[in-house]
Parts: sequence; C-alpha cells; structure tokens
Amino acid sequence: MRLLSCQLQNVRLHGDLDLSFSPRLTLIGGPNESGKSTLVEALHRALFLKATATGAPVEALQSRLHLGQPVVQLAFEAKGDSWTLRKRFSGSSGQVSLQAESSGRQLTGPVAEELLAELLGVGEIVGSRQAGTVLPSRWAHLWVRQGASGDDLLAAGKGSYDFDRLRLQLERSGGAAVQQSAHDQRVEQRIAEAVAENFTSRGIRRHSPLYQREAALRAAESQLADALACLADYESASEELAAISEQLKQLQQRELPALQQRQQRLLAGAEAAARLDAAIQLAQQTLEPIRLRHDAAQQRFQQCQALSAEIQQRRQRLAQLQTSAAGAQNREAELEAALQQRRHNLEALTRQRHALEQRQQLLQRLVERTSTADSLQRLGRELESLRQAASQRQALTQQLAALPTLSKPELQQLRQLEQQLRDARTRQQAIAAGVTLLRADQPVQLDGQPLQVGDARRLSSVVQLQVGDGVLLELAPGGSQALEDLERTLHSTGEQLGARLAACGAASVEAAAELLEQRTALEQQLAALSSGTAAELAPLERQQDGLLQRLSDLDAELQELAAARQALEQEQPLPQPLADLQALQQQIARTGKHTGTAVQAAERDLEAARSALQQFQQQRLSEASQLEVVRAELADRGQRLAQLVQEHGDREGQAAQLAALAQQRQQAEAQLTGLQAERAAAASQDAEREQQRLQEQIEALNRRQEELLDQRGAAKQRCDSISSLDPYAAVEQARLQLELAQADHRQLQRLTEAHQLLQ
Amino acid sequence: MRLIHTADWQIGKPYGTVADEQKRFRLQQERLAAIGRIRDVVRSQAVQLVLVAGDLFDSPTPATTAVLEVLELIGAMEVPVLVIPGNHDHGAPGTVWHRDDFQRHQGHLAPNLRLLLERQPLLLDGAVVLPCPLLRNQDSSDPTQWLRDLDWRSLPADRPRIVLAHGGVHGFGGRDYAGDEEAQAGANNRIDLAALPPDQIDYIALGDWHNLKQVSDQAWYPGTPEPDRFDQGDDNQRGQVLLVELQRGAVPEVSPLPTGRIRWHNLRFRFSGDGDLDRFARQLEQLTGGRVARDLLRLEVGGSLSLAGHRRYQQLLDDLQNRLLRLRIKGECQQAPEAAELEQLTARAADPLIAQVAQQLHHRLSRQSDPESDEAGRLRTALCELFHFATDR
Repeated sequence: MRLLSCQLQNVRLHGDLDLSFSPRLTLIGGPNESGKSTLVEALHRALFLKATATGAPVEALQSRLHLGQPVVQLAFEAKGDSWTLRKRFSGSSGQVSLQAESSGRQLTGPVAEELLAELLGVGEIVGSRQAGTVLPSRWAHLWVRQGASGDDLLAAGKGSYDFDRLRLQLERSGGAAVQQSAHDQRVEQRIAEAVAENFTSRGIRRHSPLYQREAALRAAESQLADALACLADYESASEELAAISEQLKQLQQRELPALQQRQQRLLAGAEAAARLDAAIQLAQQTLEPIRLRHDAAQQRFQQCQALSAEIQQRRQRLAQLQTSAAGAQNREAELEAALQQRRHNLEALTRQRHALEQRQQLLQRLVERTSTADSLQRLGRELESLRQAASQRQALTQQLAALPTLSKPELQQLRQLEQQLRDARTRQQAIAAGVTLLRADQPVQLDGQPLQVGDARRLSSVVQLQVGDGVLLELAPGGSQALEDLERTLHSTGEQLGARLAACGAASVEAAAELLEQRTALEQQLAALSSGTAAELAPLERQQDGLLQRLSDLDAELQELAAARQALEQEQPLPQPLADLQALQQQIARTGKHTGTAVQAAERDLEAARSALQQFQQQRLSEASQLEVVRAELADRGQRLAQLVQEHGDREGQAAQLAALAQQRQQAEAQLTGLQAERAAAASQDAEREQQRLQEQIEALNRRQEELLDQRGAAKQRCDSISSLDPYAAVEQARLQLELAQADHRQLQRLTEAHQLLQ
Repeated sequence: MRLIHTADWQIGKPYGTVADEQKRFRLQQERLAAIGRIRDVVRSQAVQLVLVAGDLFDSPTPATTAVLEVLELIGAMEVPVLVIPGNHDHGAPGTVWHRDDFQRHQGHLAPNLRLLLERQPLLLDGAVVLPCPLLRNQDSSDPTQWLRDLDWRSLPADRPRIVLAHGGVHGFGGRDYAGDEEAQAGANNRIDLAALPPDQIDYIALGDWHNLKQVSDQAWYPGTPEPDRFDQGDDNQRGQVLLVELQRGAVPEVSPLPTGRIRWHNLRFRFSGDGDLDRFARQLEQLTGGRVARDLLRLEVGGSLSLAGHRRYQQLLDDLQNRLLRLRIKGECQQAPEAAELEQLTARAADPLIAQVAQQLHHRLSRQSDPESDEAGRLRTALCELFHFATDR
C-alpha cells in the first residue's frame, strides 16, 4: 500500500491543504505548531478510524479556526488498484466513501470500511470503543508518535504494537524462514521424527508402523476373501450333496420300483389281454345302437330348437313389418307434402330469378342506351365542327382563285426589272444635257417645238435645235450611240415590266408584292384548316347513322321491358347517370347470383325430396312383399314344429329323452375307454421285446445308482472336511480381523496425515 | 402335558467380533452353561418333554467338541428332547446332523434326543408333534406347507397337537434385525400361520426370533435362552425358556422362566462439551455397575471433546474395555482443542512458528463446511498432535 496524495479540510489549523507524496520519500518540514503532526494524525485517523467514530480521537481533529467538520481525502495504491478514500468525521453521522479507479464503483458506509480493512491488511477499522486501545498500535510496523520516541515498544510487549503483522511482514521480507524459537525448533524436530518414523523421502518406510498396518490390512482382506471362498466352496459342496442325495432317493424309491412293477404287470398282461379284447368287442356292440339313438334324438331336438327359434324370429319380424306398414301412409303423405313444399319454393325462386334477369336486361339496355346517346351527342358535335371547317376551306379556296397567280420568283423578277429600269433612267439623266433659252431674237425650236425665252429643257436624247430657220443644230448628249442604247434598254425594260405587271394584274411592283402577301396568307389559312375534308366526314356520318339506328333499336327493346321498368321504378327511382346505372346493374347482378345459388339449392332439395319419396315408396313395396313372405314362412315353420311334436312328444319330453340317452352313451363309452386303456396298458403285442427293454433299463438304473453312491461319498467327504474347519465361524472371524485392521489403519493413517500436514 | 419350549441356542457361535480370545471363550461357554440352566429347569419343573425349535447350532458345521458337549448336556435332561434343524443348522446332507461324530456319539451320550428330519406326524404318549424342519440352505418354501394337506382325522383326538417350526411368520418378520450388522442373512422361508386350522392345533412352537414373542393364542417364540447380540428395541425380552401346559382343545398356559446370564446393552451418547463426561460416566455405571466380564456394550458416540476431555474419555473407555466382555463403538468422539487450549498454542509469543502453524490449522478448520469430513478430521488431529508435541516437555 502506498499513499499518493491527500487533501485536508478543516483539520485543526489546516483549512484546505493539498499534498502529493513522492513515489520515493516525502519529507514534511516546518516550524513548531505548523501542523506536521496534525497532518500525520489526520492520515492515520482516515485510514484506521471509522468515520462514524466519536470521542477524543475525532474531537482532536476539529478546527477552531475553520468552520465545518474535518474532512480527509486520501489517494493510495493497494492490491493492484488505485483508490480514493474520503472520510468526513462528524461524530456518529460521519461519512466514508471508497472508490476504485479501475471499476469506478463507489462504496460507502460499513461496506467501504470493510473493504478498507482488507486493503490495509488489518482485522477491522477501529470504532470509538477500541479507539483508545487498538488505534495507537495501528499504522506501520513501528509507529513512533510525537512525544513517544523514547519508548521501547518491543519491551512494552506485543500488545503495544501490531505484533502479528510485523512478524508476517518480517517473514515475508526475510524470505520463507519463519522466525523460530528454541521450543519451535524442538517441536519441529519432534514432528519431523514422527513423520520419519513412517515415511522416507520415497514413500512409506519399510517395517514402520504404517507399513505394518497396511500389510495387516491387506492380510485381513485376503483372509476374508479366503474364508468367503471356503464358505462358498462348502455351500456348493453341500448343495451338490443334497442334489445327489435327492437323485438317489428318486432313483431308489420311484424309478426302480416303477420299472419292476411294470415288469411284473407285463408277465400277467398277456392272458388278461385276450379277456379284455372280448370285453371290448362286447362293449362296442352295446355302444353302437345307443350311439345311433342318441344321435337321432339329438338331431331331432336340435331341429325342434331351431324351428322354435325361427318361429320366434319370424314373429318378431312380422310385428316389426306391421308396425312399419301402419306408419307408412302417414310418412308418405309427409314426404309428398315436403316435396310439394319444395316445389313451391323452387317456383318462387325461379320467378324471382326471372324478374331479376329482366331487370338485368332492362338495366343493360338502359346503360347501353345512355352510353349510346352520349356517344351520339359527342359525334354530332364533332361532325358540326368538321362541317364548319369545310365551308371555311371553300371560301378560302375561292378567294385564292380570285387572286392572280403570282409566285415569289416572279415577284423577284419584277423587282429586278424595275431595278434595271431605274438604273437605266439614272444613267439617262446622268448623260442628259440641259438647254436653257436665255435670249432669242429668232424663233427657236427644239425638235420642232418652239422654245420660249426662259424655257429650260433637259435633253436626254438626240434633238434638233433650230434657231431661226437657218440654223439647225443637232444635239446629242453623251454621244449619240450610248444614248441610243440606253433609250432602247429603257424602252424594252419598260415594256417588259409593263407586260409582266399586266400579266399578274398588278398596277405596280408594290401592288404585286402586296398581292403575293395576300396570297401567302390565304394559303397559310388553308393549310391551318387541317380537317374538314370530305374523306373525314363520310365515316363519321356513317357512324352517326349506325348509332341512331342502335338507339332506336334500344328504345324498341326498352319498350318491350316497360313492365319491368315500371316495377323497378316503383321500388326506386331510376338514376340517370351512367355510373349510377352501372352500380345498380352490378347490385342486381349480385342479387341475381345469390338467387341463382338459392335456385340450385332448391333444385337439389327438390331432387332429394323426390328421391326420398321414391325410395320410401320402394321400401314400402318391398316391406309389403316381405310381410307376405314372413307370414308364409311362419305358417310353414309352425306346421313343421307341430308335426315334430306330434311325432316325438313336446320339447321337455324330448330333452328328458335326450339326457337319458346321453347318460347311457356316456356310461357305455366310459366303459369302453376304460377297457381300451386297460388293454393298452396290459397288452403289448411284443411283450418279449418290452420285457427285454425293461430289464435293460433296470440294469442302467442300477449302474447309475452305484455312480451316485460314489459321488455322494465324495461330496460328503468334501463337506465333512470343510465343515470341520467351521467355515461360517472363519468368515465371521475374518470379518472382525478386517474391521479391526481397517480401524487401526485408518487411525494411524489419520495420524500420519496430520504429521505430514504439520510438517 | 408339561413341556419346555426353547429355540435358537446357537451353540458354537464363534463371537468372532469379540477380539479377546478369553472373552470369546467365555461367551461361547456361557451358551453351553445356558443348556445346563435349562436342564435345571427341566428337573425342577418336572417337565415331560423339551422342544428345540431350530438353530440349536449356530452353523451347519459346528466343531465336534461343541457337539459332544451339547449331547452330554441334553443327555442329562433325561426327558425326550425333540430337535428340528433351523436355518442356521439346516438339515441338508453333509451338515452336522449327518456327520459321523454326531451320529456315533448321540446314541450313548443323548439317547433321549430325537432329531426330526421328516415332515410327518410323530406320535408320543402325551402329544402329537408335527415337525417342520428346514432341510435345505436356500429353501424359500413354507416348512408348514405339508400340514395343509394333512388328514387331521387320522391323528389321535385325545392328546394335544404341537407344531414345531422354525422361521418368520407372515405379518411378523422374525429375522428382521434392521440395523444389526452382525445378524447373518438367512433363508427367507416365511410361515403362513393363517393357512393352518387353529382348532386342529393346540400349540405352535416357533423358533428364529431371539426375543420373547406371542404371535397368537397358540403360537409363541420363546426367544434365545442366552442373549447373543445387541438388539435395537428396549422391550426385547431375552434369556428365557417357556414352560407350557397343554391339553387338547384348551388354550395353552405359557410362562417364561429366566435362563440368561450375560447382558447386552445399547447406549447412545453425544458429547457437546467436557461437561458431558460426568453424565456419561454415570450412565455407564448405571448399566454395568459393579459387574465384571458379564456385560457387552454397544456404544454409539458423537460430538467432540477438548483435548483434556478426550484424554479422560479415552481413559473411561480403556477401563470399560477391561471390565466388559465387549465394547463396540460406533461413530467417533472427535477431539478438538477448546478455546483455552487453542490459546496455549496460538498465543505463544515466544514460539512464533508453533503459534503461526496453530493459527493456520485453526483457520483452515474453521473454513471446513463439514466438520465430519476427512479434511476436517486431519486438521483436528494435526492440531491435537501439535498440542501434544508442544506441551509434553
């Protein structure tokens, strides 16, 4: 056990002191009254004094400086674990807790103190009562308290210190050698001698007391075994002797005399046999007629008995059949009524099923009609929209036809022509020359037309300018040739353009573009109208016709079911929506199914009732005929019985006669059997051989007798010889010897074991 | 008719369980002496007939000397002595009854002895005896079986009829010595008394049960004339013969006459401390007080004593051994050091080794759950031995 650290609270002058101990050596130093002894005493109390202790040792810890009860907490190592011990010394309400680091389990109260004692290796943690006596001795092996360093503890006796633990520790640290006194050694020596008396290092010492007793034990055991064997030997010899004697007795008193007697009889037998043969023949002759008469009488009697029994039986049967017939009419009526009842039942059910079937049909039609009407309505709407689309398409086509045909490339060409014309005009204007008449004194004509002063003209072609009459000038702007070409180009281009515009009916290229746009828009509209073609319309119209036809058919059929409908409407208003109708239809279908099952059951019932009736009628018929048969049989048996009685007397008479005959017969037979047995015993046809065989048997028995006598002699001798040894007494003696030897051996063994234990 | 009914003499009983040869001889002699006492009764009571209902000898093979002594004593009785073999001395060939010595000496030593080996009526002047001898060792049949088919009309009607038989009877096990380990196992032939016609029989002389026992008006066990074993029951009456007055058709008058001399005692004692020793000594004194060599004691002991107490106990037993014919001890009185004695060992400050060993032994002993176990015994013995070694200087 090793201290690790401690914590003191409110212990005398220590308000709160923490202290860790070195693994090696911890020195506590300080001036007087600085609390060195207080520390040691606090540790001492915490370890060895119960937390609930009262009195001086606890009061000594209390502090005058600090409030609160003294608390000591200790950490230490012991028995391979680290422990935390905490004690609060507050008189009888003091508290203790002890916790192991490894398990973390915390113990409190007496359990903690017990464990603490075990950890410290002391008997118990000291309470208030022993505090004055035991506590001072507890601590280490030698505990020098303040002010007592001059005491000689060893001199004060072992009561003043923990002698036992000190010795244990010294022994432990000093090796195995126990501290010994001189007396110790003497005693040890004597024990060793005692052991050595019986044992060597290899085992039991030869000729030692233990050795002798073991030998004696073994001897006693074998002696007992011998004695038991001897006794068993005697008993078997005795049994054998008894058996032999018994055999001899049997032989001498029974077997031999029997054989001899038989031998005698055999001699007398031959003549008796002849007499017996005659007697047997006579007896047989007497027996035969008796036997015949007895057999006949017996047969008759049996017949009589059988007839009576049959009559009895027939009468019973007759009564049975009559009872049965009497009840038959009622039973048949009942069965017929039941049959009728079942028939009604079936009819009602069949009607019900029919009504349900009609309703089923009605609803089937109604459902179909409703769904057909729905379909028709949808179809009509579809057709209407298709037709509208068709008329629209026609209008668009007409519009399109009214517009002149113009395609996009054609418009392109128009635009090119116009461009060419514009280009030609521009170039013409570019090469045109301006002429302005500023002043003239003579008439000036331009290409024959007078030109006034101030007039300005543009000349884009070759013109002739005549001034006065005398002057004629030709003006050719841009050279004459180019201008001409240009003029030509303009002309042809203008013609071409005009012709194309005329062809497409447009006044200008812009108009033509507009036209193309209009056309394109129309074509797009037309394309958008995807449906509305006649091909689409035709099948739908046919379908519509078909549906109309089906509707009228359904109406006609519904007309036929008007009665059923009326009945159903009386029960419940007919719903309009298709789903409700279908639900109703399913409901009726279910009811129909149940009713169908019920009808089948009712049909089976009906069939069963019918067959029951039929069976009953058949039975009745057969019973009627049986009745006749039984009556006839009864009459017949009665007649035969009467005849028998008339011929041979009544039954009692017959029985008496039979008994008499039986007795006669039995006597005769017994006589015969007796005679035959006598004959069989007496007479052997080959008496001579029999005689010889008997002689041989007798001789064999005589030899056997000799043998047995010899054996008996031997067995008796054996018996006598063992008997003189008194085997019973010997066994008892041996048992005692064994018992004594066992006891002695056990005692010594116990002693030697004890010695060995001591050693 | 005035007769003595006795049985189970068990002559030649070896008393092998008695170790001392002299004492054994004494016991054996006492059985013979008992025959002498019977002889005295025969003479003093003017008896006409003696019936020995089996087990005259203890085994089928008694020693010749014993046979001769018996013959001499019987011869001295001078009245007819009828003997049947019992289960101990059964009548099979090869047993004592067929031996030469018996047959040779009987004629001149005891001509009045009649050995009955046949199951057939024996007509005497004053009685009809119906013997039922046991003829085989292992015979489990009822020896009185033959009486069931007997034609009783053929017997003379003017004299009493006596059945002489050996064995237990139905409803009462004669040899049921439960707990007596010395009793020999015997044949298990049981006699069915109920199967016998009571009005045809006047007395049934039984043997085998060693204590006095009246089974019915007519049927008696006389018990052995000299006790021969420790019995369990307290009211077992032994050591007598029966004097019987008989008349045809009358209930027999039976009176026991003492013949026994040696006493066999049972004592049970349990020691719970040395204080019981005085009580024990007093009880011994009450049982055997002042008598020497005339008592046997079966002592069942238990409990334990201190070492000192045990020494005194041993001394008492030694004295008894000398005084009694036999002391048989069952069980064991343990010795264990008492507190003070233990203290003498463990508190030896001066002898630490002895103290420590004693402490260890005591500690181990106190941990034994069964104080009767071998280990506990060993530990106790070891403590005692240590005590002796340590205290005998």
